[in-house]
Amino acid sequence: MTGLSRSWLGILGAATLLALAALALDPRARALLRDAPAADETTLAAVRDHRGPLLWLDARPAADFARGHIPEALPLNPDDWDQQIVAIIAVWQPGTRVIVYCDDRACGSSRAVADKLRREYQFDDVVILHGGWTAWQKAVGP
Amino acid sequence: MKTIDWILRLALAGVFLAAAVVKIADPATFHAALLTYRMLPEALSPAVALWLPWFELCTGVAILWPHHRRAALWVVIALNVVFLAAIAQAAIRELDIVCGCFGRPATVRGAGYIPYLARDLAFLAVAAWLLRRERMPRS
Repeated sequence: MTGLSRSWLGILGAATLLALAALALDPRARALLRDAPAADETTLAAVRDHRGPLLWLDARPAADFARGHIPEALPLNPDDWDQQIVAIIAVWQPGTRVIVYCDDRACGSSRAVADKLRREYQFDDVVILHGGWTAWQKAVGP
Repeated sequence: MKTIDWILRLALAGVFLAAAVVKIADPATFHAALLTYRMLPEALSPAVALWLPWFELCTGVAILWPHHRRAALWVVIALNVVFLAAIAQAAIRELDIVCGCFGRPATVRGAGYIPYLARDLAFLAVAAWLLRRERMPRS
């Protein structure tokens, strides 16, 4: 075995051992295996327990929104932003929790929308629905 | 030239260590970002989200360790090829991705891919330059 191979094995081995140690010692690492929500995400159970006004925003393409959406959700996707944001601003009030969702855990449009609302519109309470529309359908049924 | 080599090594190691520490501190956010690339089966993605930051950390340390430096630079090149492929496939598929690279996750779409591709190409070029210098007589 060459010196280079030994070094590669060393880097790989050390990383694997440290990752295993993190799994054993760090509850945040273990939470990954339980499909826990990220810091900027919320779950349907947490939404049910929330006291205060809520505003659901659907970040999926317009055609998907037309086929079905969470009741009372308003459409707001990055492609139709300028037309759709007007209605959002009209109903949003300080203290409203805004919950953005897209298809599933792997779609990025809900984060794009949430980022833009926080950064450019100073919405102070914007979270993403963990699991998105798929999680809603699973919980509520088609 | 030796001074420039060390500056580049320190910068590259710093980038890898910083990227690793942020992900280790918040694995769930990194996992959520990783999923947006739609490259890995969902069952495998938690393991990758857990392991990759530690791999970056060990690589960052190894860049500063003369005995393991060459191997670490090859790892940097390989990792950046993977990162470039991940970003390129997302750009081709027109996915909205979350970078998950450093600190606060940033969403990337449309022409927003270009700075990320350029940045990873720059890291790759620095690693290739340093690797080439490792083979040259010291000046």
